[in-house]
Amino acid sequence: MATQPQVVAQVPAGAPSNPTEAKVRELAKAALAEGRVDYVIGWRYGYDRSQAIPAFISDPAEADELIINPLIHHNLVTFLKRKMPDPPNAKIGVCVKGCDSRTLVALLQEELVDKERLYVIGVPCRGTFERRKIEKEFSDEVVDIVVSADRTTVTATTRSGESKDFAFDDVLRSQCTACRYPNPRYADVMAGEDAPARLEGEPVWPGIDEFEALSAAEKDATLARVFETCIRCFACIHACPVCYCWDQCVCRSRKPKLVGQKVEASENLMFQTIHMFHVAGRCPSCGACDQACPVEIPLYLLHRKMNKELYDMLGFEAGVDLDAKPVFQTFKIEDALGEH
Amino acid sequence: MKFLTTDQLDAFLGYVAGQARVVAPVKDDKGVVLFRPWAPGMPVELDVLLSKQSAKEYVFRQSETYLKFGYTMEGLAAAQTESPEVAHAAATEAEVAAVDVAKAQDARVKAFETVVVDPVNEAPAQVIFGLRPCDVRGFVQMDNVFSGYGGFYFDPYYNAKREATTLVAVTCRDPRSTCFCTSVGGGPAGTEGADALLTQVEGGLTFETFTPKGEALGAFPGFAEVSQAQSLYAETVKETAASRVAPAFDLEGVRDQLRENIEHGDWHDLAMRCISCGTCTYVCPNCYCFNITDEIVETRGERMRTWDNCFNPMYTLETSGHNPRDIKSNRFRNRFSHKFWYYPDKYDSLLCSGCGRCVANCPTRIDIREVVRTMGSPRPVTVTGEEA
Amino acid sequence: MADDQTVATAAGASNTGKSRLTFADVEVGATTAKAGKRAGNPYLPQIATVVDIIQETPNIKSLRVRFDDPGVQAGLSFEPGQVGQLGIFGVGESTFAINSSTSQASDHLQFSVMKAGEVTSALHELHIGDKVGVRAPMGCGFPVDAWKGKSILYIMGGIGSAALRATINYTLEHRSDYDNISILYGARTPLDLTYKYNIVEWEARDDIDAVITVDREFPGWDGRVGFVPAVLEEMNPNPANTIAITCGPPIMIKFVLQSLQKLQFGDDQIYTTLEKRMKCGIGICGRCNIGPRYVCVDGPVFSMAELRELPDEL
Repeated sequence: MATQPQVVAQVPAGAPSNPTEAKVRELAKAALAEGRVDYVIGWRYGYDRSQAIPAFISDPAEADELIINPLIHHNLVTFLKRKMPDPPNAKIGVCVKGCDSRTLVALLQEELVDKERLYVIGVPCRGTFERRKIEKEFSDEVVDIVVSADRTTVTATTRSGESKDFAFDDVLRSQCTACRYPNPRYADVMAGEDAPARLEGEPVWPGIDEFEALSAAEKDATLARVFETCIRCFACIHACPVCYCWDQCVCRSRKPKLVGQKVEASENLMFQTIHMFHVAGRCPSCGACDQACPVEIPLYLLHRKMNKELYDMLGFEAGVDLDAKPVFQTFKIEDALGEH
Repeated sequence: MKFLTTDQLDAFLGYVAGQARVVAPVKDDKGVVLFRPWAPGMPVELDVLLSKQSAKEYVFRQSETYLKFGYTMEGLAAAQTESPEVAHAAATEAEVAAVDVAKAQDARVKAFETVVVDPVNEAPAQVIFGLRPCDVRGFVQMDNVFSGYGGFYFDPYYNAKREATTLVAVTCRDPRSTCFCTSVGGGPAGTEGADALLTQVEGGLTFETFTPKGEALGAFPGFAEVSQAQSLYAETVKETAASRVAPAFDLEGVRDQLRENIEHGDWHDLAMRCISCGTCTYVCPNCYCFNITDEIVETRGERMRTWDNCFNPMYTLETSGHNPRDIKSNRFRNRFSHKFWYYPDKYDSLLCSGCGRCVANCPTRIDIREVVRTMGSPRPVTVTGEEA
Repeated sequence: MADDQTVATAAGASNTGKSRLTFADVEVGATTAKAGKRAGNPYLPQIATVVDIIQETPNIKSLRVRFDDPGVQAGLSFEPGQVGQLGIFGVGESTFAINSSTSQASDHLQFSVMKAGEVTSALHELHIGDKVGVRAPMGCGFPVDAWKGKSILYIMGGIGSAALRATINYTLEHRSDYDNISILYGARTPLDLTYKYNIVEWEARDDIDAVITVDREFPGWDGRVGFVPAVLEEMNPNPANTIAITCGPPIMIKFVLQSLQKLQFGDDQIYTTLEKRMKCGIGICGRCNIGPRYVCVDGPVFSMAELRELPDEL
């Protein structure tokens, strides 16, 4: 048997770079050592320091690989949904950012995950990066992304050593720029001081006004153009924490047959529209779908539009209050009157 | 070897487009590079190393209607009112032949008196320009499957398009960190399966041909003779590129170890961060699994095949509800074992050309190289339950 | 269309003794396309007409079909245990065992269909005279020639009988080639027993040992009661020079295989025929694999010895 070359699959994290990171490691280590959980889901570096990947830590010693920084865009709640936990009855520790926690709250409200088997580590979040925005500024591959201590500057470096600085706010994901809930709405333990909200008061909906200003024909043309490149890989729905029909999903089911199998803009959009309606009231537009899409379709715009409608019509925001009834399980007379 | 100056590239594509459809990598408005039918004036993107998807779609369509059918309406009325009885309880074989009792028909009759079926197999001549040597090898590997290598079935749909296709590859000047073609028998200037190969050098591209299809393109009048310097330059580009592809794993023994480790618990660990989507298979230049479905509107319909993928939980779901690969790690295991064990058993080669798209595009960056290194080498015994 | 899709036996029987039928005019390993020609299009169903429908049980119907092209029907032959794709244009195709006798291949093919999913439900709505699409035969049959001189024990449950009926018929038609022939057939209730007309014949013959059982007591049933694996162990068949062939629901197969091992049947004495979700039926589309073997082309018939080599993905 030949020896396999040593190529690093996950680069080591090193000493904690901020107090939250240190706290997350400490909490994970303790939970594992105490046997409170079988594994902790957090984030670690991938094969370079420019990207994070979901980490499944079962050995307390490995907890030091966990990272907390603006690269941690993955919503780990997706690993809690139906048929995901392995083994199915695992006791799981999970790290959640503000938006992630809202999807968890949505699942908890619907009793689709068992609270007793969870240990939720809340991570205050100051925003995560749209790595693709950074990537496109270079012809070579980005291998390192570093944030300045005062969180104003982001430095990206390529393999060949070329570096560029970006303003922190310029490379944030669009969701993060208008985030009203940076701190988890539900957690068993918090891993740090609350982060400041980027927006107080009424929500804003970036990108929606522009779309709404288009004529009907222009909207059709835009949607056709956007969804023409969809490859129907369904990374969007699998990355989505509140989308869990799996083997019953209409994307391929023949009974009911709602979506044709032909891969073309109209069928692709039809599917996404069904998905949008299906997660309405549960989707906080965390943007996991958008991050997962290999062809960079701005899926969150669909969901954001739906969320705007829900907010305007019913005064509802998904996953902000564990004790609240899901919006489509309640009816108030004001709803019909549109008096919100 | 010939030489094409950079300013002649559009003219060359225009010349080719006069004879066949040209498919080339182009950048969309989001900056995503995809293979698209080329029209004069469209800038071809050769600097971004890998398109998001391979050019597989142009030979093995993501959705392809392969036959059309139509029912005629004559007889419909009769079928609904006075057709003989259809189902009867039977006690003996003799009775089966004898019993013929009239009974009301189910109104939802789907099949009528006659059906006309027409296979559809459109395969216009096309030139896929600017694909990488790994993508070309992807076709070579799929060829085995669709041409019935080893005594299996010959697929007339794939092969018609394959036959009508000319592949013009471009040498990878600057392989990415996710590239591992050299570990699976290829290289950044690999020619296996290519009809022609372009190499970007100072001032233009060198042009080499390997097949009659490639030579036919050499008839373009704008080619210049290649200088010795240009040809040497091209060789240097190729050698440098090859040296930049990091060895990812050693194939020796991988198949045996995969077989050995089939039930090993490490598959669960590796699959943990998989979200069970199909991105890896849909960006892959040689994943070829598909689904078959019918669409019908009133009396006219079509039967089509569409890409499918083994991560899709419905892929193996049986009508009874039984699913042989219900567990995510089993589906995960299937893809990698297919590429490095199942397929090699059937077709005597590998089902991976090392493009690294699955690594770069996986939403959670699952790395096929890590999977092969891990499961393709001896594993310590898994701890299950209390005993090792 | 007579010569478009001629079916013929190819050489190349594998070392298990199973034979493979394939489309004769397909060039093996060819790399040149046959664009626009129908020759050897393995995706193209032949149009057939439903000529008879038998309501076997409350949810199982047998459909007897005859190809519209008399030349195709006349030229057809298949091996016992082989399968076919039966479909309705506009709904889809599904794989079913051919359960009519091989000796009647030039007249018709018969498939038994349990109403369950989309395609089977639509097949249940067919009437005599309706058109279907058929691609057959496919896959490998049982190595009935290699079994000559041996005793044969059929162990089947529910609609699993459909997969073995052609083989049972074959061995009965060539009765003198085989030693003892035993049939153990079980179903949930007497209503769920298929081919009751055959059961009557089997029980009437004294050169077959037929044991029919149902899972639990049922009004009017005075026959045997008990699960197939338990009844098998009670029967205590002698494994000497005997081939055991089983087909039924996956859970029954699982326990029958265990019982057979307990009864000292060797791995090369046990055969089963598997079902999987299939689409192309020709070893390309990928979904019916168990490890490196495709059920559609390498199976559906597998010996226990072959199954041992495969991952636990049944």
